[in-house]
Amino acid sequence: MDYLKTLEAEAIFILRETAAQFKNPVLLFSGGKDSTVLIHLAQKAFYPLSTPFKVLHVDTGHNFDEALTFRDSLVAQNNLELIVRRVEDTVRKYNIEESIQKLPSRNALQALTLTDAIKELHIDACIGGGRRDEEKARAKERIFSIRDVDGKWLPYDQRPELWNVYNGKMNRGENMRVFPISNWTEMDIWHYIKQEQVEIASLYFAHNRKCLIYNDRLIALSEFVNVSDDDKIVTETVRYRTVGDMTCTAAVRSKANTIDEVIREIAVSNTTERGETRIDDQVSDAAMEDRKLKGYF
Amino acid sequence: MDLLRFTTAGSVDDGKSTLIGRLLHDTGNIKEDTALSVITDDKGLNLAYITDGLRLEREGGITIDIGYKYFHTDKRKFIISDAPGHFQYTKNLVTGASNVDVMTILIDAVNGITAQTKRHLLAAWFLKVPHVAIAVNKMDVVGYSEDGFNSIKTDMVNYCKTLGLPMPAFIPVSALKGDNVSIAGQNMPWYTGETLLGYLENVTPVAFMTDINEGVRFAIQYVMHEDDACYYYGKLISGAINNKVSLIDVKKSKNLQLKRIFVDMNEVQQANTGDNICLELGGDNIFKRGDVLTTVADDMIISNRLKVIICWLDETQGLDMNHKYLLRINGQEEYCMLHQLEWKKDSGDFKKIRGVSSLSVNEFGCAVIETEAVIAYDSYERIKETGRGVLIDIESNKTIAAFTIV
Ligand SMILES: Nc1nc2c(ncn2[C@@H]2O[C@H](COP(=O)(O)OP(=O)(O)O)[C@@H](O)[C@H]2O)c(=O)[nH]1
Repeated sequence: MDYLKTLEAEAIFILRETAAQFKNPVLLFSGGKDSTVLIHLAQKAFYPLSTPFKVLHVDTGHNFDEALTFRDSLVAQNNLELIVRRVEDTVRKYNIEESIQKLPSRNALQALTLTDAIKELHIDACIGGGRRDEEKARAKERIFSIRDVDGKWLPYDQRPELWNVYNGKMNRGENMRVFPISNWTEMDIWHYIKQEQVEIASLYFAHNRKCLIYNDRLIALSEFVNVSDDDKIVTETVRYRTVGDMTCTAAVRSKANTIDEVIREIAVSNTTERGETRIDDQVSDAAMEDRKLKGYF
Repeated sequence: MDLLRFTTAGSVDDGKSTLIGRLLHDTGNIKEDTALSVITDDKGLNLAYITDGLRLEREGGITIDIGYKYFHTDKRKFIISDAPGHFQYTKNLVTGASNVDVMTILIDAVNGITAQTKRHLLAAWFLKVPHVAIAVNKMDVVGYSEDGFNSIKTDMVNYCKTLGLPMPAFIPVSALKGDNVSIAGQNMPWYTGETLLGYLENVTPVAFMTDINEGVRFAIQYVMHEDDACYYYGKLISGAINNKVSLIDVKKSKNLQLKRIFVDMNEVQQANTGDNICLELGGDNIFKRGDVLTTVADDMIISNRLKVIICWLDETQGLDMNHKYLLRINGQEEYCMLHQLEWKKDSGDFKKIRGVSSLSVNEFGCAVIETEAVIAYDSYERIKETGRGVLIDIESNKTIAAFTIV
């Protein structure tokens, strides 16, 4: 059997399990390729009816315009129910003093907005597009991955998860994260996007952009970035390999305009997806593990 | 291109992480930034460092939980589940090995077969892993000696026979130097078999071993309604159906009228084993998650008793014969008690120990389970997905045991 069929079947099975085992699951959507593929899979999984999942966007306020435009058109086209919860509101609610940095990151705050939304909306499961090949800590995570009452992942006390028997039972206050595309690689996602002609945000293809050079990386100029006089600003033809916040996602120089060109480019690239584009994982070897312990998705 | 899933099992320090690092490295699957992040000492690239993803693992130098790695060659895509080597984490090994086509067991040529090797064989026996490969590692340390390799092989063949395991492939390797991992090398001319990678590229994955002539099993996962129509979502676990068959609810032996079949985003005439399908059924039949539909009456076992091989996974509490558990097979759930514990397996000589009253973590035994209401099942030998399941603790909601039906 073709591997994409195998991976697709696994994901559809997991999505159906999620619909069956939880009362109020939501699908976390960011505008990125992985969650876009998830929405595509969620449509397949429940055909001929429409997907039973609501879509939740935890909006950091540091979005690319293109990602928001894409989000709204996808939601409209597919008749999805979109819920947006804003980090801005969390900041106001708790009177949080945001530190002033060159590239202000709202990753930590995002976790707080998410846990608040979970409580407010009585969400019992969040479906996410996390993949095990992204990062070393993610490589260790179960498909049904429980969060304790504080929203924390307990990596040293994970439940056994045999075969395709996913246990969604939880105690009060616990919450489930579900990762249907755990076993997909970056390349699998691209081949699948190509095969299924999935529409993705325009950021993934080459375009001209004014960027700031920061640690040899290209950071899009925006109102969220604090530019100083000695910063080097360039205009380059770039594309994004991952889409996150404008302040912590780096662009890559590229002329790839089609999916085939993107695939060719990734195949010969000698860096990983996160290594090339994420500013936020650079801090330490255990950066992701630490953030997950604190309730990051 | 197809997909092969394999697990790597070995005792601590047998060289498992080095072997995985070597496979990824030799097949060009390690990107530069990853390589840079694993240069940890003056010895340069530490291949083992690539797989340990959690802080405690890196600090302690041991693998605690399953980690997944992905790579590909021109022939195939691979998913590795890297299993922990320490005895304490056998329960995690069972998780990682439950979906694989091949279990690769590493043996250190210097130390030979250990207690942990036998636990890995027991896991393979419990899960009925389709293929087992034994990589005898660190051959460089024993001067690439054929005799040492053969003596390990002879003993392992005997163990596999005792357990009724499929005959494994035996491959002498040096994970560190690379011999017989992806290229044969010059050091072991006496070995004429495949390299480990060659073996993994050529072995038949489970997906191609499914018996398409087995009985039809459609397990309902999820039900949706729209207007007057009822849609049943689930996996066609076994067999094939077309829109002319009449389906039977196995528990009620009632014939159902099948209206439409959907696969992917199409209405289809026929669906095959493994398809995630949606059925629209006519009439006023109401089914729920967990119900199983088939085509031939009496083809499945309907009973409130089942005999199982059980693997205990919880370290905080052992099996308690007076305790009520929640049993789950597919989407079927039923309260149950363990009625009788016939024996447990000695992890040293694989003999059955009788007269036992409990199982503790990482132990395997044979028990009779009695459920409160009847359930539908098959033997694991016949149809895997309707012949296996888990026990869930009612208070903690944790998965505390896994079983396969005899
Ligand atoms: N000489 C030699 N040493 C090896 C070989 N494979 C692994 N080692 C060493 O054995 C030690 C344990 O290896 P590691 O991969 O961490 O073992 P793990 O605990 O099974 O993951 C390390 O020092 C390795 O360099 C081999 O084939 N030959």
